[in-house]
Amino acid sequence: MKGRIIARAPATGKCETCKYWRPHVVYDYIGYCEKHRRITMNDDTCPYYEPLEIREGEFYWCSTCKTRVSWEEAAEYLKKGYLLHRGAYVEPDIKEELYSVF
Amino acid sequence: MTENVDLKLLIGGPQGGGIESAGQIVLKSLVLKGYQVIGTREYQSNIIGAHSYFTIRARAERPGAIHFPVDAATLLDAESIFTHFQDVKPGGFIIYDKSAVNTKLRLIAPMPKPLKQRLEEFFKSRGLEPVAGSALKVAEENGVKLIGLPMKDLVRSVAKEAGAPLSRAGKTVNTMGLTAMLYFSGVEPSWIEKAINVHFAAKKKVADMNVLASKLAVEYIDDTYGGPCCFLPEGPNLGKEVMLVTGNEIVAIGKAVGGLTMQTYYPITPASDEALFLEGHRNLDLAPWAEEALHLKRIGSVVLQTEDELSAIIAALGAAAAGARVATSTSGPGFALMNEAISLAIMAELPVVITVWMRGGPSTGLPTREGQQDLLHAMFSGHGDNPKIVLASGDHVEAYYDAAKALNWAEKYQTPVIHLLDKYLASTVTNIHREEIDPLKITIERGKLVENPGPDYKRYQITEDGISPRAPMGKTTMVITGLEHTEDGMPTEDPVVREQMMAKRRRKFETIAKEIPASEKVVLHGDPDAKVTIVSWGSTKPIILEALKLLEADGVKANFLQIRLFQPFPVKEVLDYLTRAETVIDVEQNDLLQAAFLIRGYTGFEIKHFVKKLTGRALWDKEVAWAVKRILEKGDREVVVSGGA
Amino acid sequence: MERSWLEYKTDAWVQWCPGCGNFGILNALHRALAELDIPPEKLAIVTGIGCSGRTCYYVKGNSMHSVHGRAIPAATGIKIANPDLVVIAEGGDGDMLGIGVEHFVSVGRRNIDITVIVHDNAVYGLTKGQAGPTLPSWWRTKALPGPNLHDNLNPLLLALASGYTFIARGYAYHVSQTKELIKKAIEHKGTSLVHILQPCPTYNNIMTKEWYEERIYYLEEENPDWDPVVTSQDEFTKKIGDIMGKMVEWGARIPLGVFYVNIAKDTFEQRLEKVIADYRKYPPAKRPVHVNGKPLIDPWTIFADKVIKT
Repeated sequence: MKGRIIARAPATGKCETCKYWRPHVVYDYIGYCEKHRRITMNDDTCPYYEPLEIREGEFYWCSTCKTRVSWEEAAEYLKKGYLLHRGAYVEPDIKEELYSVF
Repeated sequence: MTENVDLKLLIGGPQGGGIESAGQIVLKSLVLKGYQVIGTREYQSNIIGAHSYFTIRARAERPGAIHFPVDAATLLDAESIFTHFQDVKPGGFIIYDKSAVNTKLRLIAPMPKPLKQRLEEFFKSRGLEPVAGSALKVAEENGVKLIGLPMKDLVRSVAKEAGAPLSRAGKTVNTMGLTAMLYFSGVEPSWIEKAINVHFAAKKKVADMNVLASKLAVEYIDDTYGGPCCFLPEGPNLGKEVMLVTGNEIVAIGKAVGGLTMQTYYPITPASDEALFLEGHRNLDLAPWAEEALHLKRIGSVVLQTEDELSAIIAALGAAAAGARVATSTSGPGFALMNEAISLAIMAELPVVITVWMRGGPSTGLPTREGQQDLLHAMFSGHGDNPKIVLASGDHVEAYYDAAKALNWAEKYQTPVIHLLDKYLASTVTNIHREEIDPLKITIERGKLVENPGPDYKRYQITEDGISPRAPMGKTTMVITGLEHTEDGMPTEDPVVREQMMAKRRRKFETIAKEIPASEKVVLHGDPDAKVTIVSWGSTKPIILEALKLLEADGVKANFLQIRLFQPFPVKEVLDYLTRAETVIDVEQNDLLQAAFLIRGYTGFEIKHFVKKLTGRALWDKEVAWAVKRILEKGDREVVVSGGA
Repeated sequence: MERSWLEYKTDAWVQWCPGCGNFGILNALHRALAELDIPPEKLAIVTGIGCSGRTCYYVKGNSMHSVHGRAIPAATGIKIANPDLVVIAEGGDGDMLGIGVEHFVSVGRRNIDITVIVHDNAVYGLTKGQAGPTLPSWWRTKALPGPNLHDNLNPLLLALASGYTFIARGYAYHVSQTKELIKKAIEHKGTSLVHILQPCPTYNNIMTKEWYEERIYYLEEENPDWDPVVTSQDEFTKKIGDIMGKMVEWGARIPLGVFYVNIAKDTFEQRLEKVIADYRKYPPAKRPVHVNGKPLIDPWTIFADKVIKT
């Protein structure tokens, strides 16, 4: 069951606030559009645009703070002008770029 | 003309942002163009998102060290700009993403807080706004040329021209950045394209997309900056076949060529890449000479991931007892667990190579950074009197032969061999030429391995050289034990036998000291008559060799005593060389100055001058040269160097 | 050819305390090896530290006395290096379920074909009778300065959860029954556990011979239809409730016998065979390493993925 909507991203009309868009995990001016199933830019626009809704019980990717946050934090961060998304886009072969780190 | 080429480059960006591929493609482009290269990675203990960078140096002669400032840097995000804006030399250039300039320092979440604070103070003291653009302005004022790429527009163009969904869009960002840097430095696009195709050989679509991205970057540089700044002649190594490998990989290769049949390990940085590489090559096609002799096409090796390092070393010892040629691989924290079994291996006389990839400690310390802090740990590992072999490799080629040699020594002397290496070597890439790692220069020795031991076999037979015949399990019966024992392995506390067995093991150690040639114990590099001797060990070797050249150019004559074997300690050789010099300077990447401690303990020679680095970053040739000059001029006891971001 | 169990005896003085359960276990082992006709040179017996650790000196074979808790990894290394050997790992409850419990668990994930024998007396005999991992809480055996504050673990359930494919329990003084359990365990292809209840007359004054003998019974005696063998996942699902019910039974009655046998899982050696060229014929201890000192491989072809032609 979907949680109650507690906040909405500002309806800028651009991909970066759209609910279908996941920014690239590190280069957040590019991202993956789930609607069109392709890479788009953060300021692209399209007729399917819908601003992201923050729902209770859900977690979000904050591309401004580069971390995953709870719905309460997400709603708070939206007020500060941070960018929130349903998730981040990670390239399928990212392992080639990663190191053994511990 | 190529002898004047000494190209130093840096690529910085977020972990997971294609820095590894970018570094590899730059290295490959320069190798293809005929240069020798090194490239070293600095990265944080984080999987995705933190800042990392690749430093590369290319020359006609193989470079032995990296340093800042570099000639050019590609800085793919704002954090990279903030981290490296002062690391490019005047007259050099920075490639950056135009969209990063307005990014506020405050909002860079992954940046370590202490660095952020230092930068905030820096900008405040200069009256500059703490945004990436200010950092670039400072660089420009220092004489650095700025080349901004409209990365977003370029990615858009790639997407448009590729005519396909860009699932690997991040990989075009790094490719455009590195292309701009190489092209502007004078590397023709054809070399870069070739390097991209080599790098993505198994993925044609990715390769094509990146070639397209590279072309767009070249067009942009032509259109906006009128083409490259410089001309880079073709290097002298064109037409050669080279291997481009990390230290981790060359050690794995050395082990495989050296006849390793089984390796155990538990995952740990910076060691596991070695075991993973071995596992990726566990089925080996025999060379023509072996195929002909054995009528066998392929042979396998086992790589076993165990539940912990206790199990890794003991499973290796079990396999050794069964007759296998074995190694295990770890880093300081894992070696701490393996300590448990060192004494068992010594008492039970079991052959095992323990490859220890040191990193910054104490404790988990700096898991992904350089450190040479486990020398004493290796020397004194294990309880009880515990002689074992400890050797340290200085560079890739040495590490290759040492990896094979360590297996020989382990089996010949039926004892643990600790092979010390470190993170810098582990993650530094260089080109190796065919003649440098000729397999036929390696002779595999297995010592007193007996195939037909007979029923009266005694595992611990007392012999003159202290080495007993070693039978694999399955041919006779035997007892292998960590308790003090008689010749047949039965436990005993008899005082007479105790002394005989202690003496037997001591004689074995004397045999080791006698049989290992002096040239494999210490090496004096440079002019033997120089008045200044730098003494060091491990991966500092090529760095100090570079420093000797810098010193010579400044009129300082110095030589370098590299200690290769720490146990048995080459007392006579070390003392001979050190007493010849007027000034001895010890260079180490640990705080206790561990090699100097051992030198004093074994030889009585007291070193009075030290250079150390503790940041966990790669040691630079020029900081060694600077520190040596400072000691010679001012007589400092200790100079701490700390270059690198 | 019939072998005598005496062929497996060594001339070492067996140094256990009078009345020690280890004597029974050792004799059961000797007899099992003889009845299975295992040539001593093909036998590898690895022990940890503890009273049970001495077993390797009392059995003729390829013995390895390792360090505390590590009999299983040593046995693992031996078996992988030479799968033709019959490999037995022995240790006490402290060795196998205390200091070495990570190996006791991990070996089950591999289902490597070795036999693990746990000599369980619930105390640390060699160090003056401290509480072992199988001594129940609040019990106070005679050498303890106070009652035991730790709960006891269940070795059978732990083995089941870890993936062992043969799990049995015996009693040290029932030599003939224990011998049969050890034989079945050795014959089983995969990781086998024989958990042997063993009175320690010197330090464990609670779990004595009398204490055990009032409680123990054999599964197949109580239920002639007892069938612990699982040949498929379906059969596992069907039988596992009863099997676990018997595994947790402890107190007034203690069951012995074979609790669980799973023949549906491949052994680690079979897994290695699938990924490593000629593993059966040329395992690590038996494969060629060189030709007259020359290496077998040329790195420029093996590691061609790292080669660049300029």
